[in-house]
Amino acid sequence: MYGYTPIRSALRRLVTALLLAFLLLAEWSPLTSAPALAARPTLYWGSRGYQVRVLQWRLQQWGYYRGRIDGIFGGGTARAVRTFQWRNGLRVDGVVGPRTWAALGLWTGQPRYVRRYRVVSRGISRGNDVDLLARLIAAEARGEPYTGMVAVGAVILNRVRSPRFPNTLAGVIFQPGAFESVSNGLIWRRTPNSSEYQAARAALNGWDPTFGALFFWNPAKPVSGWIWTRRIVVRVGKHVFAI
Amino acid sequence: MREQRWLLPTTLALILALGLGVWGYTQYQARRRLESYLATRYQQAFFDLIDHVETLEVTLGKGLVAGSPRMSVASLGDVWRAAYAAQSELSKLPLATPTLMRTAKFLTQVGDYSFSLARESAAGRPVGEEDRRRLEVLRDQAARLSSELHQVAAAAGDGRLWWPEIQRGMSRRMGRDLRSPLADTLARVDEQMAGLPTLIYDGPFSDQVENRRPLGLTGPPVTAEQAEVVARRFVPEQYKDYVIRQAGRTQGPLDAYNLTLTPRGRGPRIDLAVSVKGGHVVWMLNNRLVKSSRLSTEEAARRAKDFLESRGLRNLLPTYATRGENQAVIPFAATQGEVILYPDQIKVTVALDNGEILGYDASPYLTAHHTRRLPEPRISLEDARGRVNPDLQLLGPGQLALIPRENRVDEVLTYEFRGVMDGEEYIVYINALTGEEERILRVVRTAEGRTTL
Repeated sequence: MYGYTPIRSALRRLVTALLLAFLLLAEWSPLTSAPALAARPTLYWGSRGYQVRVLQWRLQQWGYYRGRIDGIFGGGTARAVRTFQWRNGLRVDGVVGPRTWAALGLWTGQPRYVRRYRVVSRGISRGNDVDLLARLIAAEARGEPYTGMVAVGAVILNRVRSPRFPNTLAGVIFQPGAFESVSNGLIWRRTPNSSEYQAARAALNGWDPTFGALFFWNPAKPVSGWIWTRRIVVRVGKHVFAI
Repeated sequence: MREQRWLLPTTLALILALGLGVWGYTQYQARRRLESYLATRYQQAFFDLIDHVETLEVTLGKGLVAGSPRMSVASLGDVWRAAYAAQSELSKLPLATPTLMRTAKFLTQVGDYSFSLARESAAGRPVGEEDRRRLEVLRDQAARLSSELHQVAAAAGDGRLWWPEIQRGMSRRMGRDLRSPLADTLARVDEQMAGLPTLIYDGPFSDQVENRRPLGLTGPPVTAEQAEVVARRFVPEQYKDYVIRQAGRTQGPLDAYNLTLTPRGRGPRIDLAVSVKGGHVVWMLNNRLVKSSRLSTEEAARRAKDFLESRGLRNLLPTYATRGENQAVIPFAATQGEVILYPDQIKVTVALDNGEILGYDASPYLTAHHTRRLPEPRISLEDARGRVNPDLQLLGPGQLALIPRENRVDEVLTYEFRGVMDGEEYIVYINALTGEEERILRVVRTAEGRTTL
């Protein structure tokens, strides 16, 4: 699904779910409120903070700066900036504005990375997962409360993570006989609506109202007797969820 | 005269009967063809399964014999591949879920376990005595499984092994227990898999993942009434006058009261869970559909942060964001001193039309969070930076981060570096104690936002 072998992609997904990482690094993480901004600030003598550290680090990397990376724009840093500006044909003013940032290869104001809003990155897409999961939710849990839909999605993802079940989303959903709606084709006849998509996305983003359930069923319908041997965790709408 | 009167209806009836017969026969033939097509698919999966289990046994043996790290890495890698392939074939067989569940677990874990051993070997840590003993048990298990599966295959050599399962699949009574001799035999085979040793190692399917106890739940138990007070205080302002209803308890690894907030008139419905121990809100879901996107991701992140801070959750940093269905999901990670604690995660969903908080999920945080005794880094930031592939153009000075290992339970202190190579952005984690490369993530940008693989 991701262009890796399936187990790798399953591992990746697990890792992604928990790890999902990265901040502080000012670059384009406009999210980190304190240190990071959409564009780099203009720095001058007396500036302090994370951005100054980024500046000092790059100047040091390129051999302009030999002092400590302490986040304080002082005499040493100013000298390094001037030398850098002079050697690179910039205005020698000791002020780090957009041009100097750009010359340092650290300007992130605008479109250095045009791919920013690209739809798919070299054939990698998580869209498939959302679609498939939304279809299963539509087929198995239409008419249930929203939480019940998220819970059904979560059961599927818990199965992907469990050693007892297949390790890919498609593997779990299409396992022969696992879901009635897959066996009778309902999964292809129903088009998921926005609420089901929303539920699928919540489940993929880690919401799990069942805390790790692997089974769900409707007690009002005939089910295999074996299923009642599982420990029931919670009941949402018409479904019971069990480990 | 009389005979002639009967002639026409008789002929018509005959033609009809003949037509029906021909139609029925073609239907029957089509069905037979489909059945035998299915039977072949299942037969292939089954024989492939046997093949892979055999390979598994052989390669496990080789892994035990191997004397050099190079050989042992190669054999363990083969074990992983065979086990994975076997698991994949197994999941194609038309059997009711419980029939081969232990076998499936055995195959997944054997593969996962040997993969983690192979990684250790490759890092210069040879397979230890304990692990060897476990590998021996696993090899014997694989041998037994392989011979039993052979017997099953031999008992039905006429290619009709999966016929009853197919017939059952065609009937409408799928959910019922229709036992077939084959399913019974395989269920017995599965029984034999019960004596599997507990496997604790660094992999996503390791046993300790299932037996986790939440570390972030602090405080005395609360009553259902107290939980209602917590819920009312937690939900966004405009829902304060909603009617709260108890919706049962969740009795899993994390005990919680489920509560539902419904409006007196029309409006969205909110579900949330409050932990019995300590009365923490574990998750919240609002079922309102968002019809438009007006807010930027930055603005959404700000709203999420305000929400958390007003609920007394400080020291949290927003990490990345995904957008979709007119909502933004923003995961926050806790910090301890200068270190980002990625395992301690709280996710917040923000509606992109008016900035309302629609979802909240603190289960990773409540599972993992505690004040940690973090080790002192043994290598410096500069040292760690030097160990990153020089072709990766770094985007910042790097920083300390605690990340979960593959098994999601153990944690490791690392330096985090972001960089660009070939126009793609990557994040590299260097172990702050040993200097080894722990993990590489690739940042993927989609229309939905940024995510890492």
